[in-house]
Amino acid sequence: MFRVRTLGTMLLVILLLLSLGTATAQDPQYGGTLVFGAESMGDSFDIGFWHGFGGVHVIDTIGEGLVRADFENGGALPGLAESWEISDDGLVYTFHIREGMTFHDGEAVTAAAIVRSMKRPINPEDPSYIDGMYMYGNQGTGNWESLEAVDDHTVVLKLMQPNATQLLVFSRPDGIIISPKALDEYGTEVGLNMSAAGPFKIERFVPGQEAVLVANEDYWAGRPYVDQIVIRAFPDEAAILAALEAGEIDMTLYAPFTSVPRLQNSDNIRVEVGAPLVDLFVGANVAKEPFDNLLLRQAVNYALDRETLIEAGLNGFAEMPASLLGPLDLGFDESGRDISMYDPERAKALLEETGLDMPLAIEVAYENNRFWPQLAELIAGDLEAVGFDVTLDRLDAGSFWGKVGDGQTQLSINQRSTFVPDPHDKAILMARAGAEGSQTQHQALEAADEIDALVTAGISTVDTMEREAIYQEFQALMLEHLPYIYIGYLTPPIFVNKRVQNVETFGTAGGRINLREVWLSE
Amino acid sequence: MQAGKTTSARIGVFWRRYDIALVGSAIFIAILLITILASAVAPYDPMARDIKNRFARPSAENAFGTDQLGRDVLSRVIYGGRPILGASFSAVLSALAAGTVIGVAGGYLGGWLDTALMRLMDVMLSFPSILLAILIVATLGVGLLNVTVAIGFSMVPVFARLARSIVITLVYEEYVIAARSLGASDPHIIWKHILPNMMPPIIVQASAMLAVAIGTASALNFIGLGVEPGTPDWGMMVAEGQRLIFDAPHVPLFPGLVITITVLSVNYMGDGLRDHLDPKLRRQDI
Repeated sequence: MFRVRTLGTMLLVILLLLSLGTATAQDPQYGGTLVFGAESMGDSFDIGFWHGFGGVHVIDTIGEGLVRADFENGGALPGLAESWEISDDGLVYTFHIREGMTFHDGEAVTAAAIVRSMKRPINPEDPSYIDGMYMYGNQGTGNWESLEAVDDHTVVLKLMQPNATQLLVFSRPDGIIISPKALDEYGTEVGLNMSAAGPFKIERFVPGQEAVLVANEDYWAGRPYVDQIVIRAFPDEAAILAALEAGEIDMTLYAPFTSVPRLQNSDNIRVEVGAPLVDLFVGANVAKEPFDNLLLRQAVNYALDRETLIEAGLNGFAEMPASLLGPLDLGFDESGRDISMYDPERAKALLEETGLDMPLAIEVAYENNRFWPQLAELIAGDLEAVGFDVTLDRLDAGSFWGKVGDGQTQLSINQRSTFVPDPHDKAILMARAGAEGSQTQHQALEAADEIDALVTAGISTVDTMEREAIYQEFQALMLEHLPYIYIGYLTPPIFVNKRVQNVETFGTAGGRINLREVWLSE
Repeated sequence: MQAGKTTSARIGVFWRRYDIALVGSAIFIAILLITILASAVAPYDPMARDIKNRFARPSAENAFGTDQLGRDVLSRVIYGGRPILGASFSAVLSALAAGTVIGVAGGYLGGWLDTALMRLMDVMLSFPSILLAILIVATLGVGLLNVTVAIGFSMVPVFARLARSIVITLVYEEYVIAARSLGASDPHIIWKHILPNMMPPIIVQASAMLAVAIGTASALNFIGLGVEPGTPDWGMMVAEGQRLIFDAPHVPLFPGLVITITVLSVNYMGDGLRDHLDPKLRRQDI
């Protein structure tokens, strides 16, 4: 009897120890340095200007706005504001700021400090003001009637028109709040001396090369797990891949897709798959011959063998497309898949209908990096198969966007991600007449005013159901006129060393890495 | 004693003296022939895609494997010499012609014309040739013809300087003075007496510049200033395969290797030509 009881007790103890051991292995651990491989590193982190994605990664890691974006479920999460109320008419936002927070330089995060930082782009009197700052996305600050600190921990924003995306706008990289002390001390050079209130703070910055960030012990949500994060720029994909395999970097979005099959069998690297947040498309310049002709745009649409493009051009890292909005966007219209499909015979018939002499000589422009060259060659093959004579126009990123902006392209291949989980970002950047991100010059479309009106309605309508209906109508109109021909929704591989745990794959897919919760198992 | 040598003994001596040059020449001629006869020699259409057979390793079916679009790398390498070798030959011949005319004009006529032409050549020489070529392509626009023009243009001063230096020594040769005193016209003297005598060093220089031209054309196509993407071309193939170096190394490796072998073989061929055509270096025992 004694022996049985003793054995039972010993067994229990062993089981308990084993379970403890397991729990310990799975519990997040503090410490270590995580190195992130970026495709670029700008010369400043001033949030009023674009410094490439390397800069965005740093800003996202050191900063925090009033709210944070929930890329997985949509909507906003508490940030520096622990809660907020929106008036029924959608015009008054009252933000309740957490108490006891400090910026990296020790200054208290108060309502007044937040208002000062947010008004920076509209206050030429501010010593840090720089003409031409682009902040707060879509409507910018033009829709703000007033922004005030009513007490130490309450900020009230009054709008002129309702803005359905206003909350999420404050989660953008350019929505992070900067310490008033840093704004005073460094003025227009504050981008080199950023002091924000996010989970990491800048310890060292070598412009163009790397930023070394250390954990903020006083972060409101608690100290992040990792001690130090290094965001380092590499000249090209091959260099990033070599660094990843050598264990010099722990995480990147910028290694070649073609390496995934090999890396999946690697002992020390894991590949996670991002959410389908990024549109890949062919933009047709509708303001210029020959793609002012809808029949030609439709022919391009049906000529593309998207399954092969995704398989061979993107190594399978995309989902089949439907429309301008993606499967995670509000109002996504699945029926667009019937239009964004491969039907070469139909493409040939449409080309014949145009009455133009075939083969028709056209130019396809694209950036000379990542998977674009491979994708462009496949697209050229598909187009030539139905009757086009394609000249490929391989350009560096600067020349590409210069040519697109000047309306000098015919077809151009590119992508559009979104900084916030809301359809308005893609809609306004891709479809509003004269929008900076438009690759189609589609203000020349007959339906341009109608499209513009829908884009405006999409943002000024607060009711979610109504917004859904607006975006469905918008997608249908874009598919009818086809200024964009959709290739797919990118589901980018996220390359991580196996020691990196708890990687957030939603925001990361759109270029918004979130390293707050990441921890290292060694 | 030399007259008593047998043919085989002469060949033996010739081989010992020019072994590397002969091997280089043979390789280069073979590469040229393969490139010219590409359509008959290549096992597949260099543009034919086989998406399901992407990144195939070298095998009996595809000796150099397949690339990112399932195209046969060997066939592309065979066709891939056409743009580079075509551009290089054209550039060197054009530069040779233009440089010789400038050099002869300056050296023979002398005076302010010589000074002006040579200062212009000095300015051009002060730019590294690849930078000058990039500058020219950037001005003229992307394309193989412009790459050819750029390389040719950047090489003109090399030939002009050489031609001038030869001409200014030849004009004092006795046979030139004799021809002049007999009333021969300048064009006659240049055509009959100067050009034939200046050709050996010019040809040696051309062979050296051909190697440089092949390297430059490959580099310009590599950075995308020459042929259209997707065109079978050694430089473009290395550029397109660069990102695959760890995953499918055969894609950039074979075209890269062929560029190296071609440049080396032309260099060795040039060395041999120099040794043979230079009276100071040539030995009389063959």
